[in-house]
Formats: sequence, C-alpha cells, structure tokens
Amino acid sequence: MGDKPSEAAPTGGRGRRSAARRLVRLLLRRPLALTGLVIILGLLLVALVGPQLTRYDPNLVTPRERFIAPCREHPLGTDHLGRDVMTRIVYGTRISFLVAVVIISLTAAVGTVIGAVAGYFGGYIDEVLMRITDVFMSFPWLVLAMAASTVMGPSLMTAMLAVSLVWWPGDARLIRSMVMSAKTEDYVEAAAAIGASRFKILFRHILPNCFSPLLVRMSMDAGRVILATASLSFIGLGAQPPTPEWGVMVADGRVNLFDAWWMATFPGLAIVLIVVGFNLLGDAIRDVLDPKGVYRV
Amino acid sequence: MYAYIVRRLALTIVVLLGITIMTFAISNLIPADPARYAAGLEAGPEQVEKLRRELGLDRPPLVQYFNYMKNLLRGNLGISVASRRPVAVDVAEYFPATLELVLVAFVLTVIIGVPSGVMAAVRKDSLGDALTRVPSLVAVGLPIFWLGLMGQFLLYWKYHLLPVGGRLGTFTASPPAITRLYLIDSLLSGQWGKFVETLKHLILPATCLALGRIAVMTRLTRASLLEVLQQDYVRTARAKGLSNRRVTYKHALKPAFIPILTEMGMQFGWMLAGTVIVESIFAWPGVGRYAFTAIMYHDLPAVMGVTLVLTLFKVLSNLAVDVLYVWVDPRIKY
Repeated sequence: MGDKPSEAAPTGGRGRRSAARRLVRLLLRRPLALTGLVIILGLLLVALVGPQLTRYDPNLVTPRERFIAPCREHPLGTDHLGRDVMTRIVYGTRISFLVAVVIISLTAAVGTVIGAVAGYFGGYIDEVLMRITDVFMSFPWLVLAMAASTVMGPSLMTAMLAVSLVWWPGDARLIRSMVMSAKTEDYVEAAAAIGASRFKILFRHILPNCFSPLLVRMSMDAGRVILATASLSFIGLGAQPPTPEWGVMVADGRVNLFDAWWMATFPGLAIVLIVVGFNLLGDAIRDVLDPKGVYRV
Repeated sequence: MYAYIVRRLALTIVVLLGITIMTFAISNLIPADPARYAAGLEAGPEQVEKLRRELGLDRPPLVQYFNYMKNLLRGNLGISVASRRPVAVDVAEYFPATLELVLVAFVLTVIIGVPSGVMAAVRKDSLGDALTRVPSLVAVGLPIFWLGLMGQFLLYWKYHLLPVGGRLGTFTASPPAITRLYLIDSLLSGQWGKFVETLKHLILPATCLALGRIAVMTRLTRASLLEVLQQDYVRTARAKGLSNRRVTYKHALKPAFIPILTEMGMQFGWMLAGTVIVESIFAWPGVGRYAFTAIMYHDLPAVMGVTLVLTLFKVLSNLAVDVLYVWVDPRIKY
C-alpha cells in the first residue's frame, strides 16, 4: 500500500481539472467505458426530459386498458391497473438516479469522517472504530437492511437509509487505509513542520489526496446500491406502490408473470441496463485511476 | 499459529457481542413502541401494556439488554407473531432447506468460477479471455429477483423443462430425515428418483443465486493468478525450463489461492443474503422465505431471529476462511 495515488498530487484546482480532463480522454478511448458512458448519459437524458415526451400519466388507473400486450400505443404494454409500462419506467429512471446519488454521497460522507478519524488518530480510537465497522460488515447485506427497514417501516427513504447502513464501512476502511499511508508522506511532515494544525493537515492536505480512490469506489458502487435498493423494494421493504420504482414494478409483474410477461420483464431490463452501465463505467474508471489495484481494500 | 487462531477467536467473540448489541438496538430501541410490535396488529391497548410488563420493556435499556442476552444464550429467540411458535423452533425447521440451497449454489460458484478464471488468465488477451469479461460485467448486474422470474417464465411456463418452485413436487413425500438435506438423505436411503427430483428443483434457484457470483469469482481468479504469474520466482521457474503447465499449476496456483479464498468467504456471505430473495421467488421452504413472510406480517421476532442466524453463519464462515489461511499460507503470523 506504499504507492501514493499518482493522479492527485497535492496541487490546487488547476491540477485537478487537468486530471479530470485526462480521465475523460482515457475513458473515451476504451470501447467498454464508452458504452457505459453512453448508457448512463442516455438514461440521465431520459430522467430529465423523458416525462415530457410521454402522453400517459404514470399513476392513472384505467381499468379498461389492463394487461394490453406491447403494441403501437403501448410499446411495452400496460399493467394490471392499465398504466403504461414504458411511462412508468421513464419516471422510475429519476428514482434510480436519486437512489444512487443519495446513498453514495451519504456513505461517502460518513465513511470519510469515520475512516479519516480512525486512520489519522490511530490507537484506541482506531481500534474501536474498526471493530464497529467489523460488526456492520458481519451482517449479510440484505439481512441488516431487511431488519432495519422492517422496524423503521417500509418506504423508499428507509430503504436508502438501510442500504447506507450496510455500505458505509467499506468507504470507512478505504479512507482509513489511504489516510494511514498518506500520514507518512513528506508533504504531511512538511505541513506539520510549518505549524499547520492537525485538523488542517487532515482536511486540507491528506483528505484531498484520497479523492481519486473514493471516486473509484463510488463509481463501482453506484450500480450495486441501485440493485440493493431495488431488491429491498421487490420484497416489499422499499418504495411502495404506486411509486413507479423498478423493483416495485417487477414485484407487481411477478403476480401476473404468466399472463402478462412484459410487466416484470421490462422494468427488470431497465435495472440491468443502468446497473451494467454504471459497472462498465466504474470498471473503466478504476482501470484508469488505479491500474495496480492499490485502492482495493 | 495457535496464537493467531486464539486472537482470531477473541475477535469473533467481540464481533458477536457487537452484533447482539445491534440486533437488540434494532428490535428494542428503534421502534417507537416495541411492545406494540410484539403484540401484533390486532392487540388492544391492555394487551400491549400486559406484554410490555411481561417482556420487561418498561425497564432501563441496559437491563433489557442483559435479559435479551440471557434469552439468546438459552436459544430463546422469542415467539413468532405469525406462527405463534418459538422463533428458534421455526428457524431450526427451515434452516436445512436454506443450507442445502446455499451450499449447492456455492459449490457451483467455485467449480465453475475458479476454473474459468484460471483459463482466462492462462490464455490472457485471447478471444476466450475477452469473452469472459463482458458477460461477467453483465451477469453481476442481473437482479436475482428478475433472473428468477425470467427463469420461471421461460423454463417452467414456456418450455416445461423445470419445476416452478419448492424443494420437491407437491405429491412427493420428503426423504427420511437424516441430515434434512434432501440430496444427501435421498442418496442415503437409496431413493434415486427423489434425488433426481430434488436436483431438478434445485437447478433454477441455485443458478439464480450463483450466476453473478460465478462472474465475480472468474474475474477475481483471473486477476490474482495473473498477478502471481508476473512474480520473479515464476519467471525463474520458466527460465529453468519448466513447462508452462507445470509453472501455472504447481508454482502459481497456490499463492494465487489466498485472495481466491477470501473471495469464496465473501461470496458465501453474499449468498446468505441473496437466499432471502431467491427463496421468496421459488417458494423454497427455508429461513429466507420465512423472513419474507414475516416481513409481510410485521413479525419482528421472526425477522430478527433469521437476521441473527444468518449473521452468525456468516461470522462462522469468515472465521473458517481465516483459519484456512494458515493452512494455505504457513507464513501468516499475526
């Protein structure tokens, strides 16, 4: 773990911007990365303007139009309440991005604070904090989330909290190990020598250098947290009907699987698309920023 | 080596204590009114009050925690709201089904994932190597709940190849309960037909549970073997004139096995969670489906019972992995 992150030398904003440009350039050269980028940007576009393009209401119940198989008016069919499946998928895109952004930023924030404190101060503080992450990591992921959202009452909000509860220890461990190896670098000693406070050293000098490993982890995790939240919704512990959330839609489709296969199939494909998009992108970002696999904890 | 194992055991005990504090907090401190929960949805206010006193929920949290621990150590996981039976009895009844499913999926993951990873590493940059990469990126992204439904639709409804769910057909009696793992019991009692039937029922759920994991295992095996193959001593072995085959399988595979072992432990832990979803789709009578039903009834003791048992199992499998390290890599000292 001796290598320090090569990209993020302790420079100001200018250095980072050119690093970002280099990252984009390297990504564009890889076909898989490009595929991922196109998928995610495409879905983002759908999330932003899609609802304006469809003429159906995602939640309007029209009993006369139940279970219509995919046709010209309803390219992906209608569900058991006569709602247009494609419209609901389009609205669901927003929820998926929301889920990814909320969970990833929440876990990164909590993980960074706890990991930084543990790594920087060491000793007893480190020992206690790491045993706490051990405990959280000992639960099978869905099981802890399941227990927590059963108690908190099922909703999309509690599902996101529950998944965050399972996810932060990974971020904490990553930041801890990066901080521990950065602590011994020359520039940290130099900062200490000119009299910078410990607080300032940690937040101004060390943490900015943990940014690229964190970015790698965040991009790898975006797809996984969407998958985890959709799984909770599927078993009834996340978003509740009639929310057009993809996991809920697959659960609705499950009941009518043999009569209306399209109800479960298409929302599921949407999940596959966004998760694979994020995975391709995350994989490529890792290849570019971390070719040696140093950031893996 | 013994010092390492002792230290590892001590750590396990600390973690187990932490887990009970968490489950205690989830079931007793987070709900606004745990007695209300425990009494079930139909209970009146007097019943709730009575239960609150019976369960000691009117006492300070620390006292409650000690009572909670006392009950746990006696194997008392509370009474299920839905089945009105002790949760421990329910869980013991359903656990073998879960164990059988998870073990079969785990074996599939290892016997498919590891060899294909080795193959991809040996033939690095070949067409086959490239072909493992894209499908594994997709396979990791497949939601198991969706995969299960698609499997049911195609292989049961459309082509009638496999049963829709359950451990055995509706009219088949279970084999004599020896280990309560049907594959083993049916073999031990010589009921070949039941063995095949069990196997048929296992194919879909186990594949659902294993598919993404096989992909992860393949990628990881490939990466760790490639890393070892770049080491100096491997080059030395090649320079001595040993065959490629001998170098790969005799010199490189064992050191590459350490991260693979870690990953095996993690995948096993992952399956203990994934089984909840798979069991609920395939009407598999294990603890996962029990938990799924319990969620619908707001049956908190049952959910927490399953949480504890599955977590305990994961902790034990992690422990097993750490002990196995010593055997794979005698250099490990802590």
